[in-house]
Amino acid sequence: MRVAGVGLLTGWGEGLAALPAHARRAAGSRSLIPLAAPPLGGERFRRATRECLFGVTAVYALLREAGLGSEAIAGGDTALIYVTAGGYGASNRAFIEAAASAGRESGGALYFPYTAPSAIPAEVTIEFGLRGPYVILIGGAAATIEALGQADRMLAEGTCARALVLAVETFAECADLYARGRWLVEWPLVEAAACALLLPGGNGMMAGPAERASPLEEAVRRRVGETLACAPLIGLALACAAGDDPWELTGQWRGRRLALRGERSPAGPRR
Amino acid sequence: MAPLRTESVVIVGAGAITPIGSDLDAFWSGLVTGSDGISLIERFPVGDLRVRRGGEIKKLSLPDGASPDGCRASGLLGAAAADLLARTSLDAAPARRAIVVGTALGGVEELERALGPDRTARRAAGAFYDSPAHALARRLDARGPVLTVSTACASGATAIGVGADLLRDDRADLVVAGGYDVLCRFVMRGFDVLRSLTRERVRPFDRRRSGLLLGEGAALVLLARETDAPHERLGRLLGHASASDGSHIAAPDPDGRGLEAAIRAAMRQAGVTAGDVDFVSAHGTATPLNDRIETGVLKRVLGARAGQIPLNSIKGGLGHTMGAAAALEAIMCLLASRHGTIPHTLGLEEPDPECDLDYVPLSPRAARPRLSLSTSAGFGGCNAALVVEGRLA
Amino acid sequence: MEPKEFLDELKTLFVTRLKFEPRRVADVGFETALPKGVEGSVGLDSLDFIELGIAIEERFGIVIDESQDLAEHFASFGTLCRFIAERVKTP
Repeated sequence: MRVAGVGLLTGWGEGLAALPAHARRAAGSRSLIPLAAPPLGGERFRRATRECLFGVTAVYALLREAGLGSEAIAGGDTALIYVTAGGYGASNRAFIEAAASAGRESGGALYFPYTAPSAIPAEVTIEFGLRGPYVILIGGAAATIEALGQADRMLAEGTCARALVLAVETFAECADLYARGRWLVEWPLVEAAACALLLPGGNGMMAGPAERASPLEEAVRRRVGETLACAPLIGLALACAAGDDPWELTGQWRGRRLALRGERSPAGPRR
Repeated sequence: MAPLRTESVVIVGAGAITPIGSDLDAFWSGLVTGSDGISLIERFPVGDLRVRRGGEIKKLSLPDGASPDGCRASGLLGAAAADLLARTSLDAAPARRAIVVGTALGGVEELERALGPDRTARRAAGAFYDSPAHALARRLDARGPVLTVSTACASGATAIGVGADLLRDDRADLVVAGGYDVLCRFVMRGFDVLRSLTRERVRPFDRRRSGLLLGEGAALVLLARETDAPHERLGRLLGHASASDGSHIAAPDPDGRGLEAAIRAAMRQAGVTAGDVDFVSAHGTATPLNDRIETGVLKRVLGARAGQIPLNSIKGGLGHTMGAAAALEAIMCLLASRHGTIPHTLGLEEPDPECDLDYVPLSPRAARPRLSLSTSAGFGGCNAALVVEGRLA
Repeated sequence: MEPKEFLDELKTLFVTRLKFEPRRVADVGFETALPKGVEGSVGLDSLDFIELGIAIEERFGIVIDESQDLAEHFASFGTLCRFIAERVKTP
């Protein structure tokens, strides 16, 4: 596969340029770096949750970076593979807590469909007219490595002409729960949305077990912080920017670490 | 775009727990005898809901260690796995065993508990939607890929497809794939407020159909490559595909475009045409909209043969078991081939002029389908289709 | 209640329950259509109609029979105000 573009939003800002050299130092005493509300609103998004807006905004950032219009990804030839470890947590919690309180806010018909993990990619498919193959995986960085591997296979088989791999993670609404289960996550928790548009070509690759974190995985953790499923996509952005050859993405979740390797820079050759 | 026909994958065996039977044999006999698994929900409070019935599993006898934390989702998966292992064995090294399960709700009931009085870290971690899959992996000593798919109510089909791809990519030698979901207050309240639940009985494709009821369950299949599979088997997965509607957050595309794309792509991958299809297991939720749209899609895809191919929905007796539904329905197709019987569409009594296909009403049909198509759809414009070939007894 | 009062109540529900921006509903009138796809409408879809129905039941203490075809009553702000007014018991 080749990388046609990467879209990236983190609690630090948009794109790689916004990342600090050292996330822990930049975070200081903060354990959570939230994403600012994106400038999407109006009629179209009146019902959408915060996390849905991040997903849509990340894809717009990708198109801008790649110099593409929405029509470049619309239709049935673009696969969407969405990954999240906990991007449904905020909406699930709001729906549960609305039932327990007297007010019906967040408990009504408009809210329930947004509790499904599929709500975030659904808003992306609606916004950009995506009608191709559609897979949603739940898990942290290792699941994103799987998603990239699946995208590569779909492209090689011709199941799709291009694949969009998207990850969104928000933490603010469930920060207390993450604090309880902190053996699963590192600090600081950094909200993020990241995506990559992949095209056929380059060398084939496959996800497989990895013994240790790759330099890219370590660089993402050092510079960004904990972004769960978004981390490998941020790593891919770093590899493209640096023209890494060869490159190795790794991702860990629940004690399993997977790797995806390539021999030429994932971005090259640029056209 | 015409993808190459890819290597088929053997479905070695299956295991299940459902509202109409707590193992595969009981599930099948429940289907062909028209067993009704719908009852008043007893496990959690429903007094404030408009509809208080569903396909609740009343007796869940858990195998040892299936659910160490009392997590019902893990319990259902453990019960289905125990049933699967009673019929077949995992003859692969732990590192070559993979798990791929689909779910619409994952561990959301654990989130309800974590937000309540149980403030433990374990409960909070259980709220991740992929927790039950990892609990199953520990139970089966599967150290290969462990994936959770959540394409809403199409999850079970997508998961079986992803599982087959892991075998094709040589990422594992055996894959335990399927789906599960738990009937809990969260989802009952959600569908209740959406007014999707019927106060009557579930009547797929019937003129009087007025909505769905939810159910719970788990269904797993054991997948292997042809070269590794034992002679004794249920059938083969010939094709799978998914597609998004890109249309609405909760409602299906009015023309069923995503469902149609998924079905056509699955048939293309399987290398089959409408003339090869012997039976269709429909999504058939019994909502006025779904059944009409799905009928239209099947007519377009199957063309002149549409009216001659038997199709059914088994949601009348089970309720909509969400993440488990597509896996249960795929298994039903394979059992129909084995037993030479197509289960009828329970609840269908008065035909709807807008749904004018052969839905196998009233009683089971003596027929032995070789090739079956199974369709699924869910929230967020998720669609998936499977093409399976049953082993003819 | 006067027709204008029903309209104002509905506008409030559009903001509080259907998440419309206040300025979007500021100048709607009785003739403004509700369903998406109708020219000049506020663009409600199936999900909005479910939520609106629930909100009306709660606000006005009436019961809406979903088994009947409600499309003609939920066509515009005017038809909806009449529908509610006919069902609200005056004290």
